Amino acid sequence: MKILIAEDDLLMLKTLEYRLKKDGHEVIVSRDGMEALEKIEEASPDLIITDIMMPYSSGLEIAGAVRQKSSTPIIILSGMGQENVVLEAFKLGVDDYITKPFSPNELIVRVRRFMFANAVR
Amino acid sequence: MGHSLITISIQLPDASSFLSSETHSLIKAVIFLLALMTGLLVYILISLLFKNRRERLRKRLSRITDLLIQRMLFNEDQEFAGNLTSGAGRFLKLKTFRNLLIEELVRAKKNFSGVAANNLQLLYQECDLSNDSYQKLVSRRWYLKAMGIQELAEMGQNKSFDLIFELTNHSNEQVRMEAQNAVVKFSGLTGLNFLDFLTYPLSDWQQIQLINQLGDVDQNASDYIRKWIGSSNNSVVIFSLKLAARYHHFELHDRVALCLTHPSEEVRYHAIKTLKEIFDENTSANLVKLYDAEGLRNQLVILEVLQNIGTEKELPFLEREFTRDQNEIRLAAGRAIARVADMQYLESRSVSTEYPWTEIIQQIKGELRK
Repeated sequence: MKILIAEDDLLMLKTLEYRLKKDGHEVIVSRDGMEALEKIEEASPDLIITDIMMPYSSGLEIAGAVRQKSSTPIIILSGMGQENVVLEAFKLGVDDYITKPFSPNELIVRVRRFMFANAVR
Repeated sequence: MGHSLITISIQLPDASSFLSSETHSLIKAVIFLLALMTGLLVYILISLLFKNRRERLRKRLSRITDLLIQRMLFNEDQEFAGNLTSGAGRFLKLKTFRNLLIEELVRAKKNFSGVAANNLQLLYQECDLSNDSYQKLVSRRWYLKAMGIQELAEMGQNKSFDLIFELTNHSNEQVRMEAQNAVVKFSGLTGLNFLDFLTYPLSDWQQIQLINQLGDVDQNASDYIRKWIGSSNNSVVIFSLKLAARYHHFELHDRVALCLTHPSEEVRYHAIKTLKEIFDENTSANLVKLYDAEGLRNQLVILEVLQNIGTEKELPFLEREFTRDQNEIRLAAGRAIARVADMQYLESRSVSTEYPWTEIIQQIKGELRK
């Protein structure tokens, strides 16, 4: 599966990239919202994992922009756990919301669930 | 003429000596400036060289710490940490590397949970980094002390609990806050025992931090909260009231109700707000009794609470307040009437169909529609 990760924390980005690649996925990385939107346009990933607080465009803006054009699954991975932010994200059409601190193993299980749904489609 | 010639012949050497001394001073000044500039240039160049070297080293070490952390995060072998640490042995002798590793581990730990978080903790222990954090903790410099506390708490070093607990009433606010957060992180509600002797005020921000840190409710919490409500430190009383409200400790109703007569207006304000969460059948009537003696801020909060817990018994009181001169009181009373009775009832109590009554009614109607 082709997965795009948008995350401005380099360690987090590299860690996710390493773990997802180890699981056999093709990984595209971006460190800010604008770069993420460009890469989504270019590469058409099967799944998007994005942080919320990022330079130029937030994860919620990415979700809003993606939802206008496609139904690509989106997982938000954010330190913002406030109810209103989570509800806003789901209102924009994200498929899953994981709050930091999170378990990478749990993320992998959730990614596999989307991979399975993708294969069924 | 002869006299003037003599004068000139006498004056000329003076002038030339004056000029040469001025030129000499000028040359000296220029040389001094040039030397100064050269010195400055050399200093800047050397500083830049060292800075570049430090940055290069930091980047290199940073790559190694990232690699260590990444490999450790997904490791499932318990002995792996030991092997990894011995591999990084020569770097671990460098203080810069150790500090960088601690910084990155603490940052990463905030983002991860489960096995990954445990692995990070294991790496911290295998590298014996708790000693570095401990040295910071016992430092005289407040910022190092605060940093040490944060590191030990984030990496779950419970053995330093007693030392950190002693700092929960430290004179430096940053140290105090870090220590208070740490002890609550270590042991939850019992960590809050520092409230027994806290002499400094707990800021609003710190209260939010502590509540966030607390997590799930403890069955025995009400005994602790009851004790802290009686504190002589008003900020501790307010914090306890917030805890009682957050965890809906109905058994504390009577103790909280006693705070309605507390000498501090701020404490009374929070007691009123808390009663909204733990009210009983007498709460509304008690609030109405106290209403006239309170200032505007507390009167408004009583009306706000009555919106949620008021009954038809309070309608005559609310109607009286609805006709008061202040618009904010009218609005708050109107909101309460609309909720306790209904909108139609409120409209029937409107004094006229002119300003501000129409605006108040329209606003409440709009709010109820939402």
